[in-house]
Amino acid sequence: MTEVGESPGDDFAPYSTSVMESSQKMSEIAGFGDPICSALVLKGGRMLIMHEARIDGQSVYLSILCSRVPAGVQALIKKIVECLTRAMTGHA
Amino acid sequence: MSNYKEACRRELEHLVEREAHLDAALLCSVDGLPVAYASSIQIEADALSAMCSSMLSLGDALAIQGGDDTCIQVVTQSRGRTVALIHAGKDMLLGLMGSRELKLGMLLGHARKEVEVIVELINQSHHETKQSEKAKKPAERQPALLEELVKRVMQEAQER
Repeated sequence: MTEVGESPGDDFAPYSTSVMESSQKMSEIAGFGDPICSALVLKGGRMLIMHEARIDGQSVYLSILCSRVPAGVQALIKKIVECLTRAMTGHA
Repeated sequence: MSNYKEACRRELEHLVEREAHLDAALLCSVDGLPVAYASSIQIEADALSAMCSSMLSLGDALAIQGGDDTCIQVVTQSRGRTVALIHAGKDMLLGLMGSRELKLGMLLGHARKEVEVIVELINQSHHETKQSEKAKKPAERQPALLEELVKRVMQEAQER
């Protein structure tokens, strides 16, 4: 849908949705409850954080590539989702 | 082969006993079959192994798209628990499941250290298997390669 900063482009999107769907399935099988987010730890301490948000009945997949894990990741995700909700629906 | 499985199971049991907030540890093959596991909660090892393998493969595919060779770890956080997945040698992966009280850094640290121990146990088992194979009489040995079998037949023919 949209991207900012350096990102691997269109090839990247199908994999991030698959990761979130698989993590959903894994959590369901294990009985751990709905996943909040998934992350890949990459070389050099980089981290790719992925989150599935439901906005106006649609699933939107968010991927954040960080060179270092920011403090308060969940609060950051919440803030981004609020911005997206405002942009997509016109209200928070 | 089963020697290292038992050793790995004991090692995982010690880890789950040592770390109060670590609920389960699962070692499985890259094709999703459970090798050894220990847990203080009930887990479906077969189904979970398949999903862990699938998750790590997807993580690797995603990392490759981003220009890396593989991903180092995959983490999934749910309301109740955090799951960390990591490669354990070429053919296996380790999954650790911790409660939310266990900090992410601690969970990832445990995963890294445990993989070192597991790889060591597997290498040791392979070494012991090779040693015991060498110690056997030539007639009792399993032919590892066709070449070895041919050599043995030729040698026996010459001796006659």
